[in-house]
Amino acid sequence: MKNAVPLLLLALVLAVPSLAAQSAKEMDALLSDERVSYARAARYVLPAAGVLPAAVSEAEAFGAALERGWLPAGADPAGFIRLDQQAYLVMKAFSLDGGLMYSLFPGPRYAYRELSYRQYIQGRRDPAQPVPGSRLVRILGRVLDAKGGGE
Amino acid sequence: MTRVRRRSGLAATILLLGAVSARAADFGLALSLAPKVSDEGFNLTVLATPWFSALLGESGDLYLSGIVKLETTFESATVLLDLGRSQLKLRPSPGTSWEFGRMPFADESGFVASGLLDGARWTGSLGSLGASAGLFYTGLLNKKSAEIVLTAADGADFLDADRFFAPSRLLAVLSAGPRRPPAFLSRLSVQAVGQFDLRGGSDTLHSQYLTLAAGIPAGDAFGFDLTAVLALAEPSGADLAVHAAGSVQVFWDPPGTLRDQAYLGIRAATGADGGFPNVTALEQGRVFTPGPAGLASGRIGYKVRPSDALAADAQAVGFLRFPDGGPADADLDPGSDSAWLGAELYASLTWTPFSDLSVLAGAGIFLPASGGAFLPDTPARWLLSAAAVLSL
Repeated sequence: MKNAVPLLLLALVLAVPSLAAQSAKEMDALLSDERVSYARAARYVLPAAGVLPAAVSEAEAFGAALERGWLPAGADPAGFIRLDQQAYLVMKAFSLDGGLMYSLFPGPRYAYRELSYRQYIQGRRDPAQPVPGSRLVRILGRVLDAKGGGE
Repeated sequence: MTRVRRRSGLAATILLLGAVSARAADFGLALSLAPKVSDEGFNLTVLATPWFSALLGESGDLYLSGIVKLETTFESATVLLDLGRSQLKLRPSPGTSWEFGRMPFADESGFVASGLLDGARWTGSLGSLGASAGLFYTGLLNKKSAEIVLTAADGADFLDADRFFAPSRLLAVLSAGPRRPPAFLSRLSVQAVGQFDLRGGSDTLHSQYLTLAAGIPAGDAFGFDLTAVLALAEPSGADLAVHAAGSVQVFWDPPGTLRDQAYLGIRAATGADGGFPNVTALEQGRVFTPGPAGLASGRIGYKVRPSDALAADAQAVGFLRFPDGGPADADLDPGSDSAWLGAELYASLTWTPFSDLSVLAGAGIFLPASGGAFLPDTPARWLLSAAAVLSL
């Protein structure tokens, strides 16, 4: 797994060329972040999905995700995002289809189940877990890899 | 029933203690609807499996599940409440784990025991070997789920409508195998199982098993799986008996992008009096379902997964019995010593349209050796089954 992060980072950068412009400092900050905030999660997920440009600020990305209903209403931008909430953000941003229950009741609960089923979320996990930056990068890498391979 | 509630309550309490301090948790419910039509009639099984999982600290995982099962023929119905897989797993260091509770177990050979067992298991390393050791108790299992019938006393208990639990037996299991087997092997493992009958009295059976299992690759597309089991049975008031079992399977992964595999294999288990002391019921067919004792079977099959949503499997199995022993069946001719029992064809299709919904359909037929091992005019047995599973 030690090699996974750089490889997935590379996949992320290749898939979204404008991400290459991000400073190494910013990426280091993400990877060393033990609990990614709502704003930071939106900052990376929405550009990776092509919803917003890569140069968007955390505040702008957070506002856009909140406006679309992809983050919990009333969420504090500096608050820590949960794994299931991040899964829902990814599902919506990448327009991923979910299971039957997700189709009926779209939300973090079944988004988390879907990403676990697809093995985008791996390892020891729980929907209420905080999301380290390295895990966010891995999940985005797997999603981009699957999108690139399947489309 | 008071004793049943007390023992089940104790097990549930022990497992729930850990959940109290859980910081993060998840829960769900799996629903299954499985109608079945066969030569014996219609049967519908409705199964609900509620589950709860939680992370405990930095290295602990707790999983609890229950079973609510309704079986009906529309003329009669039975309801079963039971504890499903429920275990606490601790990982004190990478590659090492401890498990406590009710957990899945399957011996290396498939001839000894399979199913949920209560106990503790360690998995880790001994030098360059991967190893595991477990100690399990069967006396808290539902007798109908465990199907442990090794002695006449076990059989009487199984038929006793007032008895809920399986016979009290202890299983000690030790397994080991090189993490990096020699180049000509894909895997190599040795497993020792000791089964100790805790019933006491004059009708007991202790048994021990030594299994060697190996995988041998043959090129990129072919491979062999081999298992050999030596078993010693110690029936009370009788001499030690030696039994043996083994299997050989060759599989072929055809080249191409289609995820498919063809396989061909034989399995046999025999010994003194034709018996082999398999601890749990291990059905060797889908329509004709004898246990492994005194039986040899050859099978050929093909399975394919053309897409993530679709999988199919088809196989043919031929059954032979050893001269001394073999399966018990009401339609077998007591005056026949014919070895050939018959052949079975079975095919199944699994469709997973959504990640949380899967549908399975299966059909099979067993053609008995009518006029041979079976009584003349014994009709063919057949089975049509379906199942839909939804995860909430």
